Amino acid sequence: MSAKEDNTVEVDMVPLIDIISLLLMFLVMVGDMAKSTSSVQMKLPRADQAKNDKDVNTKNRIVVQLKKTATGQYKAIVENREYELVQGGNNSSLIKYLQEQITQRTAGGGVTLGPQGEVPFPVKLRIPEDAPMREAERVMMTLAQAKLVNVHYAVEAPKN
Amino acid sequence: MAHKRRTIGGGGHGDGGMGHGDRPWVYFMVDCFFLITEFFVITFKFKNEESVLPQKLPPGGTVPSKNQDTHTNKEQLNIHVFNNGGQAVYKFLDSQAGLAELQQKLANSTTAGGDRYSVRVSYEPEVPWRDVMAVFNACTKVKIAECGLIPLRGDKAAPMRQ
Repeated sequence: MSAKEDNTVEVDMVPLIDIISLLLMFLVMVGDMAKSTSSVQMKLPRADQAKNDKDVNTKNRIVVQLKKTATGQYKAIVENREYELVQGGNNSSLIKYLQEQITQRTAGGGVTLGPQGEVPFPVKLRIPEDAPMREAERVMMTLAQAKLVNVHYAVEAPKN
Repeated sequence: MAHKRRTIGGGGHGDGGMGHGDRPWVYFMVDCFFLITEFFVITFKFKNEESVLPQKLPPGGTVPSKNQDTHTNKEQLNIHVFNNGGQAVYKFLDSQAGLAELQQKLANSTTAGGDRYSVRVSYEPEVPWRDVMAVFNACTKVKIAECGLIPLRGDKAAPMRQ
């Protein structure tokens, strides 16, 4: 045997593949589970009466974000999924999603509805400050249709 | 990447020249560890606590239907928002005002207590959300908890169905 052959390193690829597979699995699972509530970057309107998120009831809260797409249309984003603001489109509509959520969350009982069927779950609404009211209205009308009356408008608190 | 790394001058643990004996794959483990660390470092963000303005939509309100029961025992105040030369103008009690004036008028009109009133906001379709949000903020200031919208009608309205 020559000296060159003595220095050859046998690389065991099995643990490398194992580790990379684990890493990939981890990233895929975590990426899917991360239900970011502020995934859409936007400039929020200012409000000096704003409260900290910690000071309001956030139990069972649904976060709805309004996003302008590349085509200029506005879509609702909930838990990183896109929903149509209008009914009858190809994608799932926001009202359908909200109604499903309400059914699921009230199925176990223990939820008291208001006198006109108002659902007590709060909804956090993230709407860009420059969104025209024609579009913002559709989200709010959808909430009202689903009888979700407790709305937490996401705002930017004034700087001290 | 660490495909063939060797210690110079032989191994320190009688491993025949390898830093980790007959386990060269530990280099890949170290590489993966660095990759994971880099991933977390790059994607790290401080948790940003957003502020919220809690408000209630009036029961049965906001929905454009005549069948909805919109009667409450609260006195209804109507505010119309429109733009004039890029500036938001608020029409309230038959007079037009800026935001500061609107706040003052709301405070004067609700001296009996904000919980006795419900506000409905109407607007032009192109009015930005921040101008309507300013009305909600002004209502919160005078303790009016119920603020709803009067939806756009006719050609101005965005369709709710395709």
